[in-house]
Amino acid sequence: MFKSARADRWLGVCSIALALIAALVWIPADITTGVVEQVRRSVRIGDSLGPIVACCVIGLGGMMVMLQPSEDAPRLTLGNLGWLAVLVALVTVSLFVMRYAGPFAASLLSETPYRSLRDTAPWKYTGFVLGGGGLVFGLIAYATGALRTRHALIGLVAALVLALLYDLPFDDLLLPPNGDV
Amino acid sequence: MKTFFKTAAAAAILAMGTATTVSADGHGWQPDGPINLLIAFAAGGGADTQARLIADQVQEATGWEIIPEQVTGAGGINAVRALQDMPADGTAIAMVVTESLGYNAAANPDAGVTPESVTPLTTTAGFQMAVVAPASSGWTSFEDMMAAAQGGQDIRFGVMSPKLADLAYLLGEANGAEFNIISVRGGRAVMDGVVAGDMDVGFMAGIQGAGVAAGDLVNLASALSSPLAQTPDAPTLSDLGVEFNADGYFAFVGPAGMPDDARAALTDALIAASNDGAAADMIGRAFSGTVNISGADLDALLANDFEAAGQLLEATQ
Repeated sequence: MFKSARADRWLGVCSIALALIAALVWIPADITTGVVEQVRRSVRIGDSLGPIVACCVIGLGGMMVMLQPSEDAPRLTLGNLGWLAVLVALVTVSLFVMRYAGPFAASLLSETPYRSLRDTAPWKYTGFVLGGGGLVFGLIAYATGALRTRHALIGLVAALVLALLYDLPFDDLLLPPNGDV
Repeated sequence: MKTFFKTAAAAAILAMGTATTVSADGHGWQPDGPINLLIAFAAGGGADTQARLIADQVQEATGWEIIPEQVTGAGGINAVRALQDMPADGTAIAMVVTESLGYNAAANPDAGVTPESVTPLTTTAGFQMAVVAPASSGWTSFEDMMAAAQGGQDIRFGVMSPKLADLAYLLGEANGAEFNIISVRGGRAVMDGVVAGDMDVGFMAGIQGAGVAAGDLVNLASALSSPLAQTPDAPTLSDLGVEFNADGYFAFVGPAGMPDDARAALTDALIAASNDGAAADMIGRAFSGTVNISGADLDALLANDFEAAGQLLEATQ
């Protein structure tokens, strides 16, 4: 059915799959109250209602796109999938670096565990700047098809500026990933 | 080479002057880095303000760095669950209400939260929970309200938690009336509903103080086991035939298994801060003064609340 289907159909299928996984696995695992709750003598809206409605909208949208793809939609090719896979890999690796670069650096360079240093410069910037900078650099390199030092510097400076923009004015704010270490 | 890197890193940190400041306290304990403070209440409300003022004063007094963050929802259960995933070394604490570990924990067994899920530190203030009506209703006593109910008036009763909904139900049952119980989020929403005329009466935990003093609101009954500070003549729930009450406190807790020295140092710092400066002023204005219950007394209070919650749940089945 989908061997040479338009990209829109695949987009629809993926949206429906995402909606089903979120509604049936993610939300029940993450939220303790259901869509509606029988609390004592009354029926109340549960915390899951909003996210479930969002899943329904995503699923409905996916179904509409799948059943009525645009006439102009191009066919999906292996090249498209490869491009998407690299993009996903870039983001995944960057987030991994963001999460673990700080703890790794601390384990090499300090006797103090990273959790104790999570709000101390320069440690607190390590993950955000390396992971965020790496992401910007990777995306530029991927888009332009070239690895240039200039782009790496742009990535690092962009991440550092963003980090300082949030970190300097707000005393009570922890940069990612420091709230989760 | 590794030593060189460590020395260089230490020098860099010192040069930037941003190393965490710590100071010794009476217990010789100090946190191993910043302390995360999980606040189980919406930002900007009375409870949040109280928690942040106390945190500021602990920081000033001890030099410990405290980083507040909101973890709201499920009546404090979400904050306790988040706390359970954090280290029990004194670098993570939460501000909840005793009801979070009492009724809310007992009513949500799937959440896996009990008083044993935390290390209790100290309470900071008690609720002045009352049954409050607008002065415009013409009611000056609980009897006036019940006379209206028995005369056929539908009494819309605002509550802000499932426990209070149960108490409102029992209060009606004990006095021969069936209230129309309306659940909203937070004490301010109850007060807004009562003032706007969307509710005839509601539970308020101290927020009504200024309105009662101004003559705009009336405390019809105390929902506590003891009389209200502001309206000592109002009957208690016990006087009105309900064997349960809404006694409760704001409380700081840490993850279960916190070492004794960390617990003692944090408790002392929080007690000192809640009795001093802007925090004490705010607690005095909003909650009728600081109340510190800690150590074994707080352990027992939480255990008793949890047990009483089970009985209340059974009574209202």
